[in-house]
Parts: sequence; structure tokens; C-alpha cells
Amino acid sequence: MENNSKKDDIAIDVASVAKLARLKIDNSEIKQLQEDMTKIVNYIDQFSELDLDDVEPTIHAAQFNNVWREDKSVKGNFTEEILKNAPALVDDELIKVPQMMSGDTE
Amino acid sequence: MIDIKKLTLVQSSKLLCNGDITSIELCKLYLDRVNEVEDRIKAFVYFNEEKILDQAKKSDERRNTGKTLSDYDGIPIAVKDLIAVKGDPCTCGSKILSGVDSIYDATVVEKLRNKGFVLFGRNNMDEFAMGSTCENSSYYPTKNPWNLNCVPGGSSGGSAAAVAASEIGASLGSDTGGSVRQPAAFCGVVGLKPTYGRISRYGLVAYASSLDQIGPLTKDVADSALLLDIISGKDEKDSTSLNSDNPNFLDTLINSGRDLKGLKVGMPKEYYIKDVLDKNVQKSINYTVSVLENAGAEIVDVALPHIKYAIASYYVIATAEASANLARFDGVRYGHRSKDSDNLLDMYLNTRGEGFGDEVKRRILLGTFVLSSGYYDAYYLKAQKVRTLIKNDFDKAFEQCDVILSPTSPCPPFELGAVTDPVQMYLADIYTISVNLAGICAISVPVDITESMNLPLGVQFIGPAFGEDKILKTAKVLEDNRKIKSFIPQI
Repeated sequence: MENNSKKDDIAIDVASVAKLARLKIDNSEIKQLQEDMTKIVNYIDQFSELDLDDVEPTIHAAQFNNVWREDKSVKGNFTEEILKNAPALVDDELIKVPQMMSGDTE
Repeated sequence: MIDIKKLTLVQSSKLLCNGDITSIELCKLYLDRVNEVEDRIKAFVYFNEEKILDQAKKSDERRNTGKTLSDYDGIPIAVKDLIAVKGDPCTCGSKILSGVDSIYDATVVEKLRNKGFVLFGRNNMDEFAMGSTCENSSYYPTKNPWNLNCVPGGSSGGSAAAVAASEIGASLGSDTGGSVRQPAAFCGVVGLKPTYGRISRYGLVAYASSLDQIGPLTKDVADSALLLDIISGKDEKDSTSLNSDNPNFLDTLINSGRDLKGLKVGMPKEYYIKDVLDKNVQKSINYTVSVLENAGAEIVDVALPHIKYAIASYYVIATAEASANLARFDGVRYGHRSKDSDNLLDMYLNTRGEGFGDEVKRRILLGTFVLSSGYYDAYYLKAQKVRTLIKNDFDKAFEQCDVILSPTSPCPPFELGAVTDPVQMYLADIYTISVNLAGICAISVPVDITESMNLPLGVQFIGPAFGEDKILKTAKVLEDNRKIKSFIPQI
């Protein structure tokens, strides 16, 4: 784990993070993003001053148990309106997207 | 004659109920004002005169036939461009949502409609609520009505500027790390961040779901209470909205005493570091203390020892949640889709690369990084543990005081383009961010004007969870007793 507080050791591979995030980043942007993110992560790294071993994480501002509602059907009736916002349709009722893989598969 | 620059919702309601004005006349007053100043302010991204006047006409018909929905029937109100209004665009200030119309009303909008409010239009914002200046809007930056060279704050900068410039009487914004309170302070209006769960988030486009909360931006504290009464409450469509006794905030505020006898106001020593705080801001705090003490409040020292880690914790948690929430914008079902992609993966990559602005990309990348394998424990889990420490700090502080006083922003409004370093920009959220992490409530109220620049300054009162009545009361007493009676920019 890169968990020790060697501050200048944080190497963020912006290109691979961008791939995980499904974001196209131009090569010309990578250097600036790398600089910005390193700065931010170095700032965040001040956590390493704290002993957090026995602290429970807070995942939400308010604590919830299961939230139930009555099991009854309600009318959605949105389909046509939802499809109005779609960029491309097939037969006016299905959303069209490019093929999963290009013709010449890798 | 009606002075639109001073008109509050409470006053509009009286005028409408007394028959002194019709909804159409009232809406036309605001439309005239928009025509007069909007070119310079740029607070709106959408409004439709025909739709406004149609709603107003229906309201007037209700009133004429004794079918008025409430005392507020016919009052226009705006919303930030991330709250869904059926049939209107909802773009979150982003190119990626261009062309998208909402297909349903947010719960808060439904509640406003049920009382007869006229949905007036949509206010500009930092893209997906990420920013503190409104400069990250994909449309145009909004200008501060007090000085057109200055930012209005953000991310609800359009809402704050529109209310300050009297283009509208009130607007609903959203606050994830200070996005209602900081622009309210920068524009000289009142901004309330309610307790997490007080208001349904259904129909609010999510930035960071465990921190987001809708809140009103208004001319005065009473209007803030009024809107809180209307929009709060548990909602089946948002399972994180909470059951709470819904006290009648406006009536409680009007009927509670005019002094603060018995009220303990905490001042965290970590918030008042000598020589760091802007001198105008320090002065406004000193002045606030004198007003509160004169009203009978007792000032006590409190400690928030982990507060210095709040910004770091916030920017891990908020970006992590954002990276997940914004995954839905992929060009498949709605919004922008990149033209020349011959396979699905390229379409995702290109659509998101073209559609998102720089700050949104930065935060998605940061969120993806802190959640990625090998870094989750080092950053995300630690940030959540720090969140616990901050929450505990507030719990302890509220054992010693009723409300906490702090500046809303560490500095007065600054010029457009003045802050470019992301970390410097994030540090400007220092007083607001911890409130969202702890899920508690806070209000920003204007208190003074800087001598040299004639810019407004706000202070913040922080209350415990579901302690809105206390912060509203404290803010109201300050509002009634400050030397500047109304904050009206010269525009």
C-alpha cells in the first residue's frame, strides 16, 4: 500500500485514471492535470498526521436503517417522455448506440 | 409605489392577499427588472415569459374565484439550474446536458406549485455545482451586482445575484460545501443550508449525495423561514429525507422575542487565527459579536480541534461521490452525444471528454483516483474517519453553546479570474464545508459592507441537526439590529 507519508512519492497516472473514469483527456491536458491533482493529493495527505485506527468511518450525515414503503405499484408512465431526450432511437422506442466493438476487433 | 428592490416574499404575499397587486403585475415587475439588468448580471440561463405569465394568469383566476392555494399563490420564484421543473431545460450549467428537458418536477418544485408559486426561471451555476465563483458555468460567468468585476460566489451564484439584483424575490439553490451560503454572503442576501434530510433531494441532480441539500436564497431571514416551511418534510421519493417535527418556522420566528437572552454563541478558536483572517472579515465578526451581546447573548469559547482537516476530508468524499454520480452522463439516454465514435467505448470517452468542463473533469478524476484499488484505504476510508472526528467535534461544541458564529467566507468577494489555483480555491470553503460533513444546519446573513470596495460581508450561524429555529432567530436579531438596514446594490 502507498500508505506511508512519503509526500513527494505520490505518482498519479492521470491517463489510466482517466480511462477508469471513461474520460477522454487530450495529451496536452495531462501535464496540467497531473500537477493540479498532485497538489490536491499532497494537501489531502495531511490525514497521515492523525491516528485513525480506532475511529469508525461516517458514511452518511444521518444514520439510516432500512427505509420501507408500502409495496404498491404506482404509475410511472414516463416512457415516451424519457425517449424524447434520447440522442438516437430505433423504431421510435429503443435507444440506439454505436456497436460495442468496432468491425476489426482487437 | 412598490419598490421591487426591497420587496420580500412576505410583503408580496400581503400585497396579493390585499388585492393591491395581481400575480401578472408582480411577475411583470420582475420581468421588467430582468430586462433592465440581466445583460450585465447574467444570473439566468433560462426563463420563458409566456410560461411565467400563463402561470400568473392561472393564479389570478384562482384568486378571483376564491380558489387560492395559499397566501403565497402567485409569487414568482426561481431555481438553480439543477432542480427539475417539468418541461423546462435542466442542464446543471453543463454542455453535457444540453437539450435535456425535465420530465418531472422535483419534490420542492411540486411543493411550491401546490402553494401556487410561479416557477420563473433557472439560475446560472458552476457546472454540476462544482465551484465557488460561478466561473465554471458552461454558459457564461455571472457577475456580482455590487461590482460587475467581482464574482457572485458559487456554486449557486446565479441564484444569489438574481435575488441581490432584485430580478426575482427568492431562488432555491443547493449547498454541498457552502454553495448557498458563500454566494449569499458575496451578494448580500440570506442563504440557508438546512439540516441533511430536512428537504427532499428528489429532482435535485446529485453532486455528492451524502452532502447535498437544497436551500433558499432570500432578501431576508423571514423569507428564508417561509420557504423552509414550504419545502421541508419527509418524502417517499427520497429515502434519506427524515421525519422531523415540522415546527412552523415563520410563525415561530415572528412570535419569538426580539432579544437573545440566555442564548450561548460559541466562537471556535480554530476559526479565528490572527493575521490570517481578512481584516474586513475580522471587523464584521467583531461587529456581529457586539450586536449579539447587546441583544443579551453570551459569547463562549468552543473548540473544533479537527476542523483543519475538513477541506481535505470534503474533497475526498465529495469527489468520490461525484465520480460515481456523474457516471450516468454517458451520452446514451439523454444530453450530449459525441458525433464521430464508431464504438460504444469511444462514445463514452468522447462524450464525457467533450461534455464536461475542466473543474468537473478534475473532480471526477480525483474521485476516481481516491476510490481506485490501492488508494481507497489511504484516502477514501481515512476521509470518512476524519468526517467522524469532525462530527464529534460539533457534537461536543453544541454541549457548550446553542449556535456557533463564524465568517461565511474568509474574504470579501474577489475579482473574476483572480483565483486560478485549485487548492487556493478549495481553501475558500473553509468555514462552510464542515457543516455539510456533519450534516447540520447553517445560515449566512449579511452584516456589513467593506469600506474601500463597497462589497457585502456575511456571517454564518451554525446550528445542531434540526436546530434551524435557533439559527433563524439569531440571524433575525442580527438583521433587525445591524446598522445597515437593507443590502441593495447600486444597479
